Amino acid sequence: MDSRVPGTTGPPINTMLYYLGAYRHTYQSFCSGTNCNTPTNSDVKEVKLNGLQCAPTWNFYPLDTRTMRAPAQPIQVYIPDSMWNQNGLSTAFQAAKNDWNTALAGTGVTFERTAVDCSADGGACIQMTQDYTDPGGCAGFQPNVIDGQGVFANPTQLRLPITPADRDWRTRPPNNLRRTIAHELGHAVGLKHPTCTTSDAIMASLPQGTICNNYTPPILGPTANDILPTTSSTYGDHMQKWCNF
Amino acid sequence: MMRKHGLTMLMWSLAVSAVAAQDAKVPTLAESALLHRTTQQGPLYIERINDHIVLPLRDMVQRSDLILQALVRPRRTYLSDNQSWLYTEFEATPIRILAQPRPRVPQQQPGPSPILIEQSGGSAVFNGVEVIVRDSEFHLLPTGEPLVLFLTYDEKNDRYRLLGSASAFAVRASRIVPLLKSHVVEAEFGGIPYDQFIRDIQENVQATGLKR
Repeated sequence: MDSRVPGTTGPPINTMLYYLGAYRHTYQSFCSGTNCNTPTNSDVKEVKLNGLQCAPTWNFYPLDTRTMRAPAQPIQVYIPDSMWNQNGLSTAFQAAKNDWNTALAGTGVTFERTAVDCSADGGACIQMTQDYTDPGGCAGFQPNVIDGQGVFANPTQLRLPITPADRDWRTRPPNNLRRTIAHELGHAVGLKHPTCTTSDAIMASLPQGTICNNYTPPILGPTANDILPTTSSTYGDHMQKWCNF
Repeated sequence: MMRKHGLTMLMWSLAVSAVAAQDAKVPTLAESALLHRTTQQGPLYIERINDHIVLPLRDMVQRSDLILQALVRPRRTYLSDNQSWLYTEFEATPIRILAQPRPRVPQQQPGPSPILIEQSGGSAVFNGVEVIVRDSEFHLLPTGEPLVLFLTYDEKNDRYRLLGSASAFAVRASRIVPLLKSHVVEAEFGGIPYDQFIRDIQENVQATGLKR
């Protein structure tokens, strides 16, 4: 059987694994009996599979395969009023966090904004700042210390740039800003940059020649390509196997 | 970019303390090292995930103040003003100036001036822990091999900075190797023969009317 080939799984299933989504595949092997009375049928088994359009890319700690991630609990995002009230950031953040909160339902992770510095909350705190000066980026996300499982042990930073002009978040169009925030929250839950296109995953890198403030983002929130590796693996069974990409 | 300069920095901090009232208290590298040491052994890696922009070659040429092939060596590492990040200053030994669209007059002492390049990231020891901070997809410039670098001039600090993380390349087996680990930049520049890459740069310099 090759479930990638139409029809080979037999009716009524006929499911191809490259269909986007989460599947539970139940299967059993049959064989002809012999005069030696060998078993003819295997036990019925089940395996969970996720169909994705590109290989998932988790943000591993450099020395091992711990996925660096926020703890499975409500996460405070400190956004000072001076930023919150500029250029529609409040609207962009609300939309982005609502998308992720819906996607992460059942994991324990939720994002909420706070107007007070949450550094006392340790790893359950993301601090948004506008001191981002690294060259050539639309935003940056910085984990600091992780514990033995890869969970943030102290506050992380979501950094936005104010220079140069074509990267300044304060002039970023509403959908571009929403896309930026959604992308950065994806880093907070352990995702890096997959090879998907920007139409297929919120965590995709921008295509060549695209500058932060001067393009039209094709999607604004996480898709199955972002959500399944997070809910199923990072906040699920921690399996990090993938194939056929 | 503000730097930590002892007393000067302290005075500056006091002067802006009212403005900074809403600033987040981000963990310093010393604090992170201490926390790391309580539960784990070995070095602490802090990697910033940056969302890189990959410009076409023409735009890179237009935006650069200096394009050169050079060897680099680190001179010193310094702490950001909020003590949460490191920067490394490299000295470049030019092998070949490929283009210098906007020549700069060095502000340093008379005589030949080194070409200084600042890069985000570095390593230092805090509270007995080696702390390595870097971009997760763009590590510190490698030493001992020729690099092709697109640079912009930081007048305030009298040194160059990389135009972007996608603007530094190694030359290995006569082919261009982007130092940024990204499939986007790899698809654009990876594997281009060195000679062709140089010709492309020079053609873009001429096409944009910049000086060589």
